[in-house]
Amino acid sequence: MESSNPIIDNTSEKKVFSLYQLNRSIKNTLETKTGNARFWVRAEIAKISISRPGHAYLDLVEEVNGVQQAAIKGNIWRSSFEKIKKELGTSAESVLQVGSEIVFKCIVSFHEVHGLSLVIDAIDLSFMLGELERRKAESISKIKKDGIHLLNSSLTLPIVIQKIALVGSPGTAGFRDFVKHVIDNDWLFRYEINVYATSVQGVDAPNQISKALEQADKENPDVIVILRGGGSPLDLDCFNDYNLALNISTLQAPVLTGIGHESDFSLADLVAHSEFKTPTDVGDYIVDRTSEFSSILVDIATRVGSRSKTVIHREETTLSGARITLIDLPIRILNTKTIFFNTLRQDLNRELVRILERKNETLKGLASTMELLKPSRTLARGFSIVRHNEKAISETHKVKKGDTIDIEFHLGSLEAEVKKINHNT
Amino acid sequence: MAKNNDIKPVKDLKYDEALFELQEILSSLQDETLSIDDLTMSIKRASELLEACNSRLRTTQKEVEEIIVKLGLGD
Repeated sequence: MESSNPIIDNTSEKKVFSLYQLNRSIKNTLETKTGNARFWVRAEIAKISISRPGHAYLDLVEEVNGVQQAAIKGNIWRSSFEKIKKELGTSAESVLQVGSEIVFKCIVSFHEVHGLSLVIDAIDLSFMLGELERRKAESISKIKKDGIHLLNSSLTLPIVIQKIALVGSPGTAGFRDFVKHVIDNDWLFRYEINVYATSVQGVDAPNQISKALEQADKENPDVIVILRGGGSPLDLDCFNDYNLALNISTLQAPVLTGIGHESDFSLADLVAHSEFKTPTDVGDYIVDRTSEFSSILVDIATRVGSRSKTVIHREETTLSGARITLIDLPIRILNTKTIFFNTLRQDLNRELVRILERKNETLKGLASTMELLKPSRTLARGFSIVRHNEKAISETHKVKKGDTIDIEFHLGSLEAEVKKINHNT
Repeated sequence: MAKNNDIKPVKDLKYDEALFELQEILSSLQDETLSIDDLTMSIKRASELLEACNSRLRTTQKEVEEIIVKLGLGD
């Protein structure tokens, strides 16, 4: 074997090997050197495909600053693949994907036809988790240093959240829980929910989520809700993506997360406005917030109602007082005026009577004077009345000689003839 | 009572204006400074004002009650 080793050729004679011989020799040398020992190796999965029989074929690489330093093929035979998937459980998909850096146990194998490859039979999950934690811790300290985690939380959450942009995977239980809690709320509050569907796991998830967020933000929602109904730490690792965290921090709408973790939190939670344990918690928060506002409204309305009633009651009292006064006073005024009028009338009557009496007195005085002046009284005293043609005469010029005149005495009268007239007396 | 040329139709008055004028009339009645010539006019005006205030108050009360019911606060 030593003498025919084509690699260690120290003879001067030209010796030609078949390709198979060469490869066989490489294989032997490798197996001798490695003794089929199993190594722990760290590498990134650049490509992975599963064959129909259930074997996994991987392209493994090591990159430093984007420059490939090493590359090799990796195989996981079906029996090992099944075992590994079982061990990884729900994390299997996240681990066995392009871009994932894994630590695996392998033997170095060389096949005459297929060449060099690593045959993998175990994957160390704890390394991956540790690595994720380390990366996460780094990102957290960077985010905190730059104050990025304060940007979205400084946005004002509307008192009542109505327009909700929902970013998540519509088929998942968490998504359904959220929608159910918000739509079927006990108070019958109505919300506008717009869904921006995105994958929430896998290597492309951060990118897709970022795009969905950007699209959601353009519609000016009251709030953007990011949902993921739980999963293994590896499943949730897309929410620890630094760029995604950065994108969340620059959104105009406040972001609420319900990523469904139990004890830990993600970068997305850190940069969001508020984080909740589960999608249901986010839904309850939104509904509770509305309900809180509603009870404030009810309280205000109750006070307004009671105040209105007081004001109305006060005005009622004023008006009813005014009504009583309005009925009462005119009657009183009329009564007063009537009394005054009656008094006036009485005064007037009395005055009239008095005036009449006085006139009467005057008349009586006149009558007695008249009595004194009566002609019969004068005749009695010896005077007589001379008449000519039935007219009393008081001067001689009214008669002439020969006229017949009548002379009336107190008692009786006579007829005489004028014999002589003396005009001068 | 306001002078004739100052008198606005009752319907153009605000509640407070109407109430103020009503109270002025009532106080002139109380002082008995009102002449008999003005009495009928004053009482007529006062009763119009009173009716307007009352109707405004009833309407307001009804509206308030409706709002309260709408807010789900009915007694």
